[in-house]
Amino acid sequence: MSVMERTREFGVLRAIAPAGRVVAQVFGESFWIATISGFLGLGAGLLLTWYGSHHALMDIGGTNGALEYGGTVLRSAVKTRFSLGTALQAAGLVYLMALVVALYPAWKVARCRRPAPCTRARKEHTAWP
Amino acid sequence: MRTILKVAWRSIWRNRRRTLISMSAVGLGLVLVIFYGGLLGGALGDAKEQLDNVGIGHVEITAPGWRTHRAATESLADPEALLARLALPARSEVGWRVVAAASSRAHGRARASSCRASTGRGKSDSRRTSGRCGRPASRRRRRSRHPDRREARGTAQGQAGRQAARDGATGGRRAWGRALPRPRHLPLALAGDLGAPGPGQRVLGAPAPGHRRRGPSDRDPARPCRRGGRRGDAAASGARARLRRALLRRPAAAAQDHGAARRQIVWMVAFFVYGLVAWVSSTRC
Repeated sequence: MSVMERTREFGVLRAIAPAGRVVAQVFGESFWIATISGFLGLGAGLLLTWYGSHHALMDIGGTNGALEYGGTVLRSAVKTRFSLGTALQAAGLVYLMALVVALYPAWKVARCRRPAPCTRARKEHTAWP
Repeated sequence: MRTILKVAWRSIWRNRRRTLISMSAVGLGLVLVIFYGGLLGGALGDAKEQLDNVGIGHVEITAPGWRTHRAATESLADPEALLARLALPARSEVGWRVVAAASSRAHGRARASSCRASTGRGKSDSRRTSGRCGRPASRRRRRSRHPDRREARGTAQGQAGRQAARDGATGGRRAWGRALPRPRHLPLALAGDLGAPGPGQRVLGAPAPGHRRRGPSDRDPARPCRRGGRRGDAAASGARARLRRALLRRPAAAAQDHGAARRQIVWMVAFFVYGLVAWVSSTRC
């Protein structure tokens, strides 16, 4: 989205700078977005999981969070498990994916050999060229 | 590299709304991944913990040849000395597993003896099959006339099963349908030698204090039982009272479920509105 709508801008950049420089800027933007949202999402996810591990998020109908079946007391309250390792693993995966999906717009910018097709105003105001 | 990152940082904030939408999409996805990972981990941990508490346990100690032969005669020689040597922590719980049903023939006898206790007597229902065993009552009665099986049915089997249940071992549950020609040769004596658990201890898999587990070992062979369970028994009336209480609590649980469903609908609508706003904003940037 942040590249397809900026064909004119990247066309001008391609005219005055080498392709590697433009591609690096696209990756730099993805890096900042992925880093900031990754940290925010990691913090919010850890907070939510920690809250769910201390408070029952859902109770499937037992009394005082317990359900007796066949003489055995089962837990009826659904809680989450707070695991920093699992959360970091998920954050790393999402961070990696956010960087990987930047390959396509970077490739789109890099394959624009001449600035003229990229600077056409026809595609400026549409979401997808 | 530093210049590129600096330019990129300034570039993403040239269009603040688009950047915030992109960042919120990534961040919300990450929050959901972490939260559902924790929810799944909590559910699996609960299931594992409950399985351990019900009877599997964290550690199982068996006789050396038990895993190969699965013979009921292969039992631990001196389990108390073994436990003393292990020096378990103070809060650990130990349960004895008493193994029964050593052969398929014994299992067949067990079915015959237990079915006799669960089916009514008389010629009118001789062809009626019990829901538990699925075999005509007349055939069961004919099979159980053998001297060995006659010894197996009735008091010997019932007493052995009840003894194991009183001892609080899981064998109380497993020994109910077994024919016991000579009960003293079976490892049931193991549970009897160990005695009852001490104060504050609980045996894994044992019924809770005051709880009476229903099963053929509880049934009196001399008492004809009707289809659908016993009537008039104190334990059965207690179970019915518990069932009635559970049914009376049902409206509250149903109201709770409605609340959870309402919350889920609100969340779905919120996500839909979020997606709609993001899509409209992205098309108008």
